[in-house]
Amino acid sequence: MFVRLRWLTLILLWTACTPSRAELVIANGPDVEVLDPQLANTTAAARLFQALFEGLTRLDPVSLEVLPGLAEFWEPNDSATTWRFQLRAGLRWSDGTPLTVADVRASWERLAAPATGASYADWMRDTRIEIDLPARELVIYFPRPMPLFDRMCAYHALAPIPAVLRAAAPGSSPQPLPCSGPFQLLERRIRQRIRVVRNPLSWRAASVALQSIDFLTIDSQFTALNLFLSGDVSYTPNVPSLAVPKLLEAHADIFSPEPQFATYFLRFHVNAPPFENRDLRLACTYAINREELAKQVGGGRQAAHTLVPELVKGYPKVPAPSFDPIQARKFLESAIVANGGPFGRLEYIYPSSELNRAVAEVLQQQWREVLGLEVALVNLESQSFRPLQRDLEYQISHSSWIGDYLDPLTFLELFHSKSSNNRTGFRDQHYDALLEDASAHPDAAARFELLAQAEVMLLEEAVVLPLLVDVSQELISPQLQGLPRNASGVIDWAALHFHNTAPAAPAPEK
Amino acid sequence: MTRRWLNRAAWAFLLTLGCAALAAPWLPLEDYRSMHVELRLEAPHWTASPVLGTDAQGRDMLARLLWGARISLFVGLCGTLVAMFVGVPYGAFAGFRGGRWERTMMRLADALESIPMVVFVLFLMSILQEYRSELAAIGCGRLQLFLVAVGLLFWLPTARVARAEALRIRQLPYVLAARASGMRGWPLLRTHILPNMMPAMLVMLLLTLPRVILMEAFLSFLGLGVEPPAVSWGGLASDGLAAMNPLVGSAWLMGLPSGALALTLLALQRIGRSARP
Amino acid sequence: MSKRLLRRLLSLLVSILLVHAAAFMMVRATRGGPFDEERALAPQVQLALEQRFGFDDSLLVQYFHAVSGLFRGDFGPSLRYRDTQVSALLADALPISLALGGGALLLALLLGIPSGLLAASRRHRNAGALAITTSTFLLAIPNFVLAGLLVALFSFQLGWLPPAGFGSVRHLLLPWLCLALPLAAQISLLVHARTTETLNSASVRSAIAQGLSPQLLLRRYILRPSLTPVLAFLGPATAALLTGSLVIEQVFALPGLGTFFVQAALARDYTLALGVTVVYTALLGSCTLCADLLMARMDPRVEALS
Repeated sequence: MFVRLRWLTLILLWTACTPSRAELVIANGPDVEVLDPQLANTTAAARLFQALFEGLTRLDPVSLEVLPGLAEFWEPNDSATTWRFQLRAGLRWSDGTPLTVADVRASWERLAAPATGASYADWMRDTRIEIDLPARELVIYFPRPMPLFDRMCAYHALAPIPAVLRAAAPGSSPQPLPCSGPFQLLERRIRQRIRVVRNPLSWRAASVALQSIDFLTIDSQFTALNLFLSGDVSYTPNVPSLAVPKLLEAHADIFSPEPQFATYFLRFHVNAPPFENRDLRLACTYAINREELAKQVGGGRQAAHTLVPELVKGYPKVPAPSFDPIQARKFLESAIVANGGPFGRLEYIYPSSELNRAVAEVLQQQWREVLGLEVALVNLESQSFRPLQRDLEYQISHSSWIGDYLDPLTFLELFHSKSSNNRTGFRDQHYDALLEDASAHPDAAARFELLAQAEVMLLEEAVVLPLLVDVSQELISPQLQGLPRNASGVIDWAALHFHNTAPAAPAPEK
Repeated sequence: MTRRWLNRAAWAFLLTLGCAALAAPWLPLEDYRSMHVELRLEAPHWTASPVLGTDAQGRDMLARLLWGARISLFVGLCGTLVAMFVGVPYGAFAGFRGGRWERTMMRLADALESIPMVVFVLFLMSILQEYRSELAAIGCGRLQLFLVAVGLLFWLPTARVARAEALRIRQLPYVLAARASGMRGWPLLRTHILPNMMPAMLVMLLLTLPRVILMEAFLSFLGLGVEPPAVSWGGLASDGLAAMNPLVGSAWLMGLPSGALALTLLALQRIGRSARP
Repeated sequence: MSKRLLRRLLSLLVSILLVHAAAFMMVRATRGGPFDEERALAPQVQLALEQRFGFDDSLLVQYFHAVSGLFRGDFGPSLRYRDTQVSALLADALPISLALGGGALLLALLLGIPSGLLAASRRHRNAGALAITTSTFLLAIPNFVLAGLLVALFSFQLGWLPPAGFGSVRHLLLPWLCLALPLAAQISLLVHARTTETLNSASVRSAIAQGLSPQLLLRRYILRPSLTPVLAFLGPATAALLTGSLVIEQVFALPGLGTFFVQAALARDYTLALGVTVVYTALLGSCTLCADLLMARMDPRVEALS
């Protein structure tokens, strides 16, 4: 009797416990740690928040143009120090409360406040905001020219957030969470999945085709691949490098690497021996064959010769050093002469990851073959790596940077002498002046010219060694439509639909 | 009969492996580090080159397995020795002194065992990282630090066995006789207790060695393993895990290092069990 | 008996405090903090964050806060999951780890004990040899290799089970197998060793000589002594099982406690790391206690709670 009962319960469990599935299930990568778009800065979080919170503007997923979001109209003044936004009428949060310019102002003030602990606080530093509630107008005054502020508004850090989230104390998260985007939060199971459902109160609700989406937290890439292959998920953001050759040769319908606005590069510590010696830095730069590196590392990645990926329209082509072993050896000789002898122990530090390891091994091999230099590879797990880089306790270190918005300044301002992201010890007044001059020129062509000069200076000083342009490694099921690959990971969740169903309504442009 | 045959096979395998691993730099192998993009993901040809296939970067698997053997066996052996150098004196002292000393020491050991291993390893590696330039000066590189960290994870079981052994030997008749005739402390330990502990300690070594090697595999899986370009079996196996699906299908990438690992550990366990008194 | 139990529980509390202190010291002494990102925080923001989480106090004050929180069962907010309390995270992960560990334990016992007994029996010598060989093999491969093999077989080759994820019993079967098989192997070897020993003892030999049937022999003479070492071994092994193998949780994307161990330490999430350590110590202590109590009931020669 006992045995029979046990079997019965087992069978019941089996059948009853098949979980409900959302209409679309995607593997989102690592966990979204905080449900607060101002505090999160991972790509996984960006994917989620693009679905939940809409900004004043949004980006077109194909052309990356700036489109109206919550705001229907905006304009800068002549020097781009003041921006005026006009919000749409009748905007509501998903819980029914009205979304007003007061929400926008309060959100931006919270972003700027140090107590919030936001990474993008410096975007809103020293600003003044004026609102006109009945007219749905907002004016923001910047102390410096911000010619691309409309593009920045599409980023989730600048999306307005609801009052309950603004007021939440640390260690608590408001449930339910009012959302402004095409989807709203249904449930969040930490480390497991976040389920979102269609938000009927979004201004775009009519064009949203999907009913629900599950964002699964899958830490390991091969698990995500397995889930994709078994049909349990329709999208995964990256794949193990082992799988890439097969994908490239036989599965172009699901895998097609798209260059991203992100660079993989090396930083040199330029004000301590041995890399204070510019010749040594240049020797190391000219000794690297990036095309060979890209081929060996694989993944469909391409070589990067400049720090800023060549994806910005109108930005001139910057002359940059390329592979030249003879030149490299000449630089090494003069470096050795200046040093008074051969160099001691050289180290390259990097955070542990499959890609970083592969790159490190190729770099070591190339430096050894071309220059005869033996560079020791030191891998550290990432939280051990960061303080070393920050406190300048390294010689060569791995770096990577994703541009927050499509403009060269996001890369070049890293090496401003006052930037906390500099982490090289590079300080040059001339460089700083070029960047500040560029910001003062709202005319795009003149601005790009000045920025290009700054980049040339950076590369001539060999402060950084650009290696690879990042590529998207998304696997997208052929049934899933409306997800064009682009350089910034922009996803228009409202436009997604499955192959056998048509999109709900043409997406409204205005 | 079969048992004796198995023992002999185990010894033969280990000796061959050890010699091959030691001789790896001089054997006519492909360079285990050089990448040949055009040869990537070749299946093993068994009788032609590449004998055991290539990995995702076109590196020869046979060479990588042999060089991996060097690291895995080295880490295993040295890690175990570290564990024993710390654990045996601790446990022997505790068992020898008995009384309150023993109770406090073993209680402390129990408490330390509850700390999650990763916290401990990270802490160790971090501390050792702080002094890495000083340590590099005395020839102590990352590999050596890694050995110490891994070895220190296993000192507790060693200490426990050492204590049990010390307790047992302390009660033996001739040891009691020695104590009755006035022998105390260090002379007693040196003359009677420690030598008698040797057989059990040897068995302990043979049984801890597999655990250390598996721990190295686990740490490699977490990304905390040995530094490239050095390879270990654990690292190779965890790299090959992504190949176990119908898309890639290069099962040899995980199968070969796992097979080598399994055979080695089986051989060690066989010898360990046969050496048990 | 109850005084001994009380003393044992007290010593468990002391262990928890000791471990908490040691773990606190270790995580704080490790370089790197929870707020270090690729995109550095502006200095005043970093300062404000540190103030909010009390890092500007001296270490001693912070330790005092941590311990007083420990007594209230409040570990504070997680430093990475900044909108969630550590106790909420642990409460979410614990049932999953319990389901994972409990199922694996049952499966391991169901597989290990009979196979160990089988191996020791003279009649089924070949099957027994096979059991021993399989057991030794299972203990010679890393657990992620076993996971990879099982996924390749059951998910892709046969298509019976999902390769990862969480939500139903079907998702737990492969993880249960991966965790249970090595444990079953160890149990099997232990049972085999002890049973062989028991079978050779004088009392059993005389019982066989007197013509005692195998079933009675099993029940009266063999089971109890053979199971004692299993229980002794199970105490600490269960706690490790309950907190889950990190590898299994990563490969199968299961949100259990095991992942927290590693992730919290790697991300320098101090509060979560301490919370998880305390839970693990408490579980370890309780499992060992239960095992000792069970052992005392099964084998009166063993002095319980000594």
